Amino acid sequence: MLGRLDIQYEKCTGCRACQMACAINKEKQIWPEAARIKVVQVGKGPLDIPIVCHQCSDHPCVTACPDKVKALSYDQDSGVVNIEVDKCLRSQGIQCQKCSRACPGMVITYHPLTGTPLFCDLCGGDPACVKACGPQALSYNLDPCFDSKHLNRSVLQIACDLAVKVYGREEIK
Amino acid sequence: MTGDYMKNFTFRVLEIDLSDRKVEILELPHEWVRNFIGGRGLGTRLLWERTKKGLDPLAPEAEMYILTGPLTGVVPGGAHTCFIFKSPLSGNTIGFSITGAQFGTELKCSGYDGIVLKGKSPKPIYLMIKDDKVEIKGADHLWGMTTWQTQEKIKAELNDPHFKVLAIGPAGENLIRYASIGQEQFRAAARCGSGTVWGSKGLKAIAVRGTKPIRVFDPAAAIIKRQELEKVLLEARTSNPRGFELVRYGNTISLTSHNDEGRLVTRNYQEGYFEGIDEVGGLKYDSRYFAKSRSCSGCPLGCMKLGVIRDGQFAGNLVCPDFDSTANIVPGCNISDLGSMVYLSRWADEQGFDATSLGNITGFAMECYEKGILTLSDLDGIKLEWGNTAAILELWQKILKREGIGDILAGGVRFASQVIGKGAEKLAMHCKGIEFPGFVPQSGHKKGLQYAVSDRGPSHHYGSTIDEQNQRVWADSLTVCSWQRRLVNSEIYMDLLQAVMGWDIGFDQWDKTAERMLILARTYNIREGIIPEKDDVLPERVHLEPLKKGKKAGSVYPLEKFKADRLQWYRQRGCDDTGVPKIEHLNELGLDFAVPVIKEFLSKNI
Repeated sequence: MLGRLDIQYEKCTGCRACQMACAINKEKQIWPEAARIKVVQVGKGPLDIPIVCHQCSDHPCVTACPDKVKALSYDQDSGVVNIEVDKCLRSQGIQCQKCSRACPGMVITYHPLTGTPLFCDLCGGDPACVKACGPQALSYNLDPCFDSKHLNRSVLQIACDLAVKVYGREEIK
Repeated sequence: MTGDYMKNFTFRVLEIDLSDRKVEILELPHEWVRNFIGGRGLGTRLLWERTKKGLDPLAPEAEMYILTGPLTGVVPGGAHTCFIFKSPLSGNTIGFSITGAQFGTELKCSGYDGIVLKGKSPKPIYLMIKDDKVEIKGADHLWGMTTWQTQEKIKAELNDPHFKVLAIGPAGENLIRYASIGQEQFRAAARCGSGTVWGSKGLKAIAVRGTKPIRVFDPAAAIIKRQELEKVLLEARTSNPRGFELVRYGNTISLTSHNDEGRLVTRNYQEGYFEGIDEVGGLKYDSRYFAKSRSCSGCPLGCMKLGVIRDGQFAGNLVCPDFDSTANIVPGCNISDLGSMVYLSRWADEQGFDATSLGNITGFAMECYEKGILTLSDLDGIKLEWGNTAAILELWQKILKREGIGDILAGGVRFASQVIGKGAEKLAMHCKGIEFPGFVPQSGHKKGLQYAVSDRGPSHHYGSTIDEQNQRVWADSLTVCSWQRRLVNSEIYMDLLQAVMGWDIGFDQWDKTAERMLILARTYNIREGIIPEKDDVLPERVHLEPLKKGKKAGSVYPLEKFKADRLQWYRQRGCDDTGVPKIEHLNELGLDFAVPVIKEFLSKNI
């Protein structure tokens, strides 16, 4: 099994170096939109929140992928979700959103060119984004008992908690 | 290779005529881009070529160039977008201002290197750019909103929080001469009246969203060099003292060190030492209000320090001060309360003011009040005493709405001092009509010299030494963050240019290219009516009124020394002894097209 990508949200400065690093590694281009990890803002002021697949152990996205398609699969050895891009309905121009809707974290984004969903594969155990993260908001955790509760939540919940944590209050002026 | 390059790698900019809502894609001549690089340099070239001599900066025919550079988005901290225009604050000089954050990268990803704005819309509009789709949309419903509200509203109405939005606030709409353009709440292209130009064109905002890869000549080589630069910056977080300081505290920490050196603007440049510094400088902000760091595109440093005011009358307000937005407002107006300091700086951002100019003008008005030049009735009853935050906010509302004295102060400190008269001119700290920023020239002679010779008016961003000036004009043209000058060896930029643009360019061209850009800006000013010998000057106070406190107590910048320094600078820059670029020097720099302007100037001014 590979480890897990841990995020300390309060440390993220919103620079998107992770997006650059991810796209450089995967696409060999400077192409933040094609990154597997994305930094978003969902209100509550300028709070930057990295979103990325956290390889849920029950992987509802894989279950949601239509039986006739089965573009998504869960790799028992590594613990990551894999996608066969050619099988995905979206590569044929069909606007299927089954995996995205099933994702509890609402973290699935689409490749700007192929339109197919993007899944983090942890770069096989040496994540490029972690190495690029100056403030060390991202880290790679190999502990099998790693507690991922703070990650496996919707981005809106994360934003609310983060506001309280960094501002000391939920609402700011 | 050259042929391919010329076909594929000029700058591709959107040309938008706001009068008849026409959008075109313009490929800039290869030679201009190669000789003027991008951003500030290229904008100077465009301003020279595309606008007529003597144009009113707020006329519909006036243009603004919003330009990235070849390295924008490619390198960490290569986040900056440069705005070049004729300054409505000075009236006859080049204006440029720069903003970081994410806009430049997003624009690059939409497939454009810049935007040329011209014309004037009869109704308020905003511009939406999403990759190849460019739309001009109505902005009646946004007019009157603050920069923050506008950004939020546009993201909501376009149903995509990833849009990066530049917007003006009410200050720009009301044509306050020192209005700014803001983005991401706290980032602003503030100086020289950029927001005023937008206001005059009826342009409220530009929203951009790009999903394409950044166009690069040789991606593999560019990525290798980019990663090298990233590593240097990552290491600078801990190994470089300046890097560490920026990462840990941001640049408001500099308030204290500049004060220690006796060069921090205090009470409208009467002093260089502020007694109240302990309440606002050093670690005070970090320990009381700091919440979280933020970065520009790709930069591992994160020098923007977001915070929340946690006590006092402004409790609950989100803030993000930096040195330039606070120096003129706080010691400049004698405020020694941290909450007031950061709130006032936020207020300026939100309403779309240049915090530097606004602070300078407020300090000026306060000194006028102290000396009886402005009376209580002139100020409609506002007791404009040093350090009175409530009075400042009342005054600022008047400026924003252009009521009473506010209408006069809205014209800038030069204009206001001329209207007020009674000796107020001597208290107006400006050069060429642009307000002084945060350093006192009496103690910082190098700063004083650059205030006087800088093409866009006083700005410590121009650079103190020849080397620093060259580095900064390069940074603004590439575009990369100018902080990198202390962290990165500039030669790497040449390698990056080769990879990104396919240019055959070496570091030996560094100084000459920089000088070409600077001298063209100087020549542009001469074309527009600046007479260097008469206009590259400092207010009398700098030469005559010694500082009384702090490390540099007793110092002035004597007129003779200033003149000698200026003469030396003129000569170093290939100008004659009156500051006019020599014709042979223009030819050496490849600026032969500018020679007729200088010849005409010389024939008239002998």
